Amino acid sequence: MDNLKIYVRLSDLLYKDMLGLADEEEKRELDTLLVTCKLKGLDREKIIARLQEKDVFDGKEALQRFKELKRVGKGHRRWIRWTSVAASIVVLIVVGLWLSQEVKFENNMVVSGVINPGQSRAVVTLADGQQIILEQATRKIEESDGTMLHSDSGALVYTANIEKISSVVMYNTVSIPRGGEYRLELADGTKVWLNAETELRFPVNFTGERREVYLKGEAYFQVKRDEKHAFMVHTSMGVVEVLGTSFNVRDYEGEQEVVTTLESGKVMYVSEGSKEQVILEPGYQTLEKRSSQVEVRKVDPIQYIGWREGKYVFEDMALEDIMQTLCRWYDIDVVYADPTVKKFHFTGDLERYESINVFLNFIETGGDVKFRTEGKTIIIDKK
Amino acid sequence: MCKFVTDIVGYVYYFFRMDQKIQDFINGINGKNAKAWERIYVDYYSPLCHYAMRILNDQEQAADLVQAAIIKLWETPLHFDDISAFNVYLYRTVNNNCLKMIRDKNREDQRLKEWAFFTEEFESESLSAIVFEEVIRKLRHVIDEMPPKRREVILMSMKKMKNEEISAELNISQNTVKKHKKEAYAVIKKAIQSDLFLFSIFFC
Repeated sequence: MDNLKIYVRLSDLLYKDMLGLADEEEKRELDTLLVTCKLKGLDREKIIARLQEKDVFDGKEALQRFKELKRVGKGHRRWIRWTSVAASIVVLIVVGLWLSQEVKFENNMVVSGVINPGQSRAVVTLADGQQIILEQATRKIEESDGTMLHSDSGALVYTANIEKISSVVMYNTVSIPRGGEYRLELADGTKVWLNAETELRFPVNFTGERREVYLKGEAYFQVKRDEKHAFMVHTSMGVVEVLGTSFNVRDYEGEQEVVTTLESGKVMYVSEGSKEQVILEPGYQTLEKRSSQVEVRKVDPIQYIGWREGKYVFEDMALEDIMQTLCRWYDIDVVYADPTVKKFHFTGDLERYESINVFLNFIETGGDVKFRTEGKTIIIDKK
Repeated sequence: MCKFVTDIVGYVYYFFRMDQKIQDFINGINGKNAKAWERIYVDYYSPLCHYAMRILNDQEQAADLVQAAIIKLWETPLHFDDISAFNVYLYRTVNNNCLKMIRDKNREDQRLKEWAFFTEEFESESLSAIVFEEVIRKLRHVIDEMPPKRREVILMSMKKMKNEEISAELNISQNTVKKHKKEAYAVIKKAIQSDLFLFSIFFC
């Protein structure tokens, strides 16, 4: 379902066409899209019929129930003001950059879509639910237990206030959008690199016997050694338990697998379903898919950990899997004009902080595929 | 040179005038603003329910599931860059949650076999459903504001009925039909410009 944005466009076009306001070019585009996307059942009569009848679903009533449940509008105001200001500034900057780019294109008379890599971006949710957007700029925040959060040039550092440590465990969540990344230093000194489209929930301060965090997406951990307090990463299928080591965990919702790659030290992976336990040595990896056994294999860690150092290394990998990784980092969508190319295998390195175009050119020169970019959508076809 | 300057003016003009509303909405969503949530319920609630209904085939369950998804959105820190990312998120979430619900309910269920395995065919089917709902949502957005007679005129002209047919059907003069159309399209064109910001065409 990665090509959903195409359908957003399709619905815009059909909407316009139904009102009789689509021009010839748009009509042609609509017809082509309807055919290539194999859409059925878009009967105009049915759409009009639905508009004429009374809607069985009542949004107003549902809103009422939501308000009762959430007491909307109380206590949320303050930070809303703040975020909308911040968001407008971001929007202005983005538009500014975009304008300056457009000007450049105009001057050179080149119309090509350069797709730029992700940037440091994150949203941190404090224990009281307050949310703060983090970018490159420096920021200091104090949690209610006295822990200081200090954000600077793409990293967020937690420093515990020793005088005020409370026994209540408070959690923060850091979420990274598509096309984003962020570094994190937890209160125990553990460093975490968070990749795009990732969420990590963790205690502001580690007070219990174990140091437990909850991951969705992909992260690389450098765990501060503390033999008395095991560090545990909870994923959708199992738990990674360590004392002090460096390893990468990947558990994206769409991929239906949890992959743990160990760089140094020792980790134990415990499957939640089968209760199976696996101890890993450096250079090895566990892979758990739904309803199958935990698989252990020897790998070249750079392929799985390289992203942290600004490198993607793909070795004999299906184009489909390569593109899935690129979609997250470059925040793009991919459309396959010819689905057979999904299974083509490629080998190559990609500098993470370069525009995607360099890599696409490289693949195109050496392989049987061609790429076309339309805005933030990449259309892939056979040569 | 003339084109160059007007292009920039065009961008700025479109950005500030046309896109402001949408941008405000997205900022509101990212900032968990109560006003934005009201718009979700007015605009998106029903299309999402209809969409869920196609998969679940149960009105009550569909409504509950969509309500839960909207509440989840309120509680989860998510940042959307633009309106299409937001639309995609909503339908995808509802789609996934429906599949989960079916899976939890009964593993042998026939509908599971129909929906859970994404062969290309079924995938395009569920996407057809999204386009269907999105077109209705957009149309509702413009015609719900109209006075009842004007609404009917527009719906009939969408059915490609001629002015004289509409006038006969609604028992109004052809001139009145024309007047309704003219006023309706003035509003619709404005809405389209702001909706189709991405496809904005430049002057010159």
